[in-house]
Amino acid sequence: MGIMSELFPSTDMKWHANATKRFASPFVGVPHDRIDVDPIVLAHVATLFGYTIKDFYTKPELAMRLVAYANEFYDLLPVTHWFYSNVWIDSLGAKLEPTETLPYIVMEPRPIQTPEDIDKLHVPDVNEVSKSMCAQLFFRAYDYVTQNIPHMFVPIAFAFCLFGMAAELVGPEKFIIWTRRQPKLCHKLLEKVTETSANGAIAIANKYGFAMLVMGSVLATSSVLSPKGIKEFSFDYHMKYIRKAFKGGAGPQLWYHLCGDHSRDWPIWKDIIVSPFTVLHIGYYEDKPFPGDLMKKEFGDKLTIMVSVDTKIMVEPNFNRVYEQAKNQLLAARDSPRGCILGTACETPVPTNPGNIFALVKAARDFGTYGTW
Amino acid sequence: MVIEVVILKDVEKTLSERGISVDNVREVIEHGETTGEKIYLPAENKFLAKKVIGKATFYTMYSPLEGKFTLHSAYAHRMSMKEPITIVTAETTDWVCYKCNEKLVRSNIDMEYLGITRAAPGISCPKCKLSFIEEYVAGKTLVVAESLLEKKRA
Repeated sequence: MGIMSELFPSTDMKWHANATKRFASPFVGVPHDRIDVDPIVLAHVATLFGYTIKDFYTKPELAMRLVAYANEFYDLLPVTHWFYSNVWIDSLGAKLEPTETLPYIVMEPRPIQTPEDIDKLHVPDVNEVSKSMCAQLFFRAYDYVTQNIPHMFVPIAFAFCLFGMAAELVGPEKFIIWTRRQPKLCHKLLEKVTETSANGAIAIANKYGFAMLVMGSVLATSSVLSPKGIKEFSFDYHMKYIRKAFKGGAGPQLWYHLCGDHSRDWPIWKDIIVSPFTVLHIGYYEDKPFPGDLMKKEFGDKLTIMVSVDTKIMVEPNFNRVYEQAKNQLLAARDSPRGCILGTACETPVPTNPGNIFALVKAARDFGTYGTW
Repeated sequence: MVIEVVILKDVEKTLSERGISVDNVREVIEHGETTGEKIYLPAENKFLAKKVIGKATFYTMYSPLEGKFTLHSAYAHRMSMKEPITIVTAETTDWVCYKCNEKLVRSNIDMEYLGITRAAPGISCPKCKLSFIEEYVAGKTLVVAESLLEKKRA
């Protein structure tokens, strides 16, 4: 990867020092500079800088470098990241392939065709999961960062989302029907997906010392399940996942990413496990960005909140619309007691207009600068 | 109150690794036994007590037997415990509050370190709010959190 490193100028360490203090400020209660902006950049930066989506997902070293470069370019976070949603399930028999336009998708036939297939599934232990395709991709990414841009390293274990990952093993539509007709099967499979994912997190913590747990309720939303269903099939398994991962040495950081509509189930998430470094991000309330004032009122005294701008508007060349939405969310939530981060409801789409990310940062500078409100 | 503690070899090793003295252990057990501020696992006859000694909170898990106390484990954290901020009454544990005879439930507890207050996962009595940090959280999650807070604050 030496040649690839030569393609990128060194990080401006003055920028990095400031961004690091800014990044830490919500967690240490010392306001610095302005509210941070995290538009969850992924393959967008590949196409922005002349690579392909497939490059991004098949070359995790390159992806880490591109995100690091973009974070400096846009004045975002002082750390880099790379991930895809169908993590760890290759250890449970799923065959994953990247496409030209999508990250790793599950190929047919799905590993769970019959209820008996669930019983046959072997849950890999930490050592076994360390050898999986998923672990190897993350190890490549993290080894590259530790060797080349160590100042931008944070080890992260992803679980997006346990319900969605279980659904991918069966087929999403069939799995959603099972939640109503054969819930016991769902639970049996969710137990195995949860155990496997926690073992994956422990594998990362074993290799890198700790592992920030980033997890989400992405398929399990108010559009798909009732609040009771989300508690039963998503929330409870995420809490199990955290407990097992913590017992194995993963954590202590927790980042909850509730993508999609959580207008009916958000109260359930008031009971999440909280560690000293916890961020809660809720994407939408019905089809609108989840209100910043509601986030602050209900969660602000417990953890750091991340408020959203509608991801859909990040593509259009209407920079003022993004700026105004970001401004309104900041005005509503910027003084949240345990800190606030400005983001987008989900990953910025590949065709995101860079002008819109600049609009987010401009709004954070104009309305999220500590000491000016 | 004279506290005679029986410490098995493997537990002795744990104490040494964690820098916990036998005097610390005696002090915590004495505190639990005299104040009744302790929780227990009825099926295993195990008790868990805690006491702030100096700048750390020490915990001991023990079983009383014929006037002696067999030590099962001991651990500590430097973060100082404040109040539980979430009490999830629907998620009970096997631990029972000695004073209230109520099952402890999962909670999030505000902890203070270096002047920073942030929450950590714990267990609390839903009635008297007596709260504890479990061994795996103290020994792993909080140790790393304390170290990260020191670095981030620097």
